[in-house]
Amino acid sequence: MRAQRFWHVRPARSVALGVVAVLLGLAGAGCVWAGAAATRSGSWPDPLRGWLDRGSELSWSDPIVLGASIVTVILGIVVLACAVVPGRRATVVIEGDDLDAGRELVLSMRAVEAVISGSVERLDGVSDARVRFTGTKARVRVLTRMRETDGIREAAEQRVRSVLAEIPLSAQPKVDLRVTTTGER
Amino acid sequence: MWQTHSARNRTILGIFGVLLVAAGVLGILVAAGLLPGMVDRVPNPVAPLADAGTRGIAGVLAIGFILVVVAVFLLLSVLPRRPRARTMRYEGEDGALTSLDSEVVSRAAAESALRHDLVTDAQVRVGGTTHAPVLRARYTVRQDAPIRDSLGLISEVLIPEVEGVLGGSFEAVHVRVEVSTARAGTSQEVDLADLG
Repeated sequence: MRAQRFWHVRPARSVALGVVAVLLGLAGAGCVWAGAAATRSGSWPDPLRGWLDRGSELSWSDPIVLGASIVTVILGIVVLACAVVPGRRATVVIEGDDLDAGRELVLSMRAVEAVISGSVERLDGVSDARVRFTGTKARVRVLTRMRETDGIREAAEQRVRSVLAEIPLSAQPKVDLRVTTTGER
Repeated sequence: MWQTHSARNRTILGIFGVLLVAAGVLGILVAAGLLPGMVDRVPNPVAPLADAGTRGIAGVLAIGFILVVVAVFLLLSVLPRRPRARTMRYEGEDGALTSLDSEVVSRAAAESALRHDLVTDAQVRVGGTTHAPVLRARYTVRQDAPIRDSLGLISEVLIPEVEGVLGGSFEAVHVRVEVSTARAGTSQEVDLADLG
């Protein structure tokens, strides 16, 4: 049987499902509280009584019903999007990874970003480097105090490519590099 | 090191999404008069509740309990879990049984990894069964060290070390490598007073 991945997985949407669970729990607790209060006093507690009185007077053609239905559809689409949209993985597969052989080897995207930014920041003239790595593309933003940025750009690009070549990624990513002089942003 | 349940979470979210969309679309169709006859045929569901009758209260209580139970189930389902530790049992040539707690092996493997200069942090979890052990590990390595050296250390030294303790190869290995983002400090501390 083929081993399942443990690290290189899509986001589990735990927060979205947690929010849904909390909202359901609050609604359920509200119903139980209202039911218990009505059992004791013989009438619904405020403000629920007012809402039910207003709701019992509504007809299906009331604009409030239409509005509530539209809100429900929008909420449903948001929840469905959470379920269907794959989301960004936090890791990238490296050479040696072979799931058929039961071997999962991954490097975190943050690790790649840290290696690139640390390496670029060691270049002369670079005051800061911010990297966003997606697995297929490395977006590097270099900050320098120098007015003439051509030399920095060339050196930074060369450094990024050599760093990426050192990392045993299964495919070499594209590099998008931009150099900005401090104060020009 | 936590295990989440992506497929299960997404399936539950998908079911909720479909139910919400279906309820909303039905409401829109009825409210907009696109389902002729439904406006008169479908009674207002809120009206029977307004007078706080026994059936209404019982219904609200029942719905409340169901919602609370579903919410608790969902919250338990959402919580990530640690892969379980196991007790591995080995039979020696003389038939003697030896038990080995995988938690102890995991801790020893993490401590052993930290003895290497390239590794700054290690979380190791050995699971599976005696005959099919599984390794799940997250190693954090130094940012200034060549990444190939760190990966080589993990593949050629750290994993075989744990396999050596267990006396066999892992059925599955799941390794994640992080890079330490802490900036390196100065190599030596110098007191200003010493410079005077």
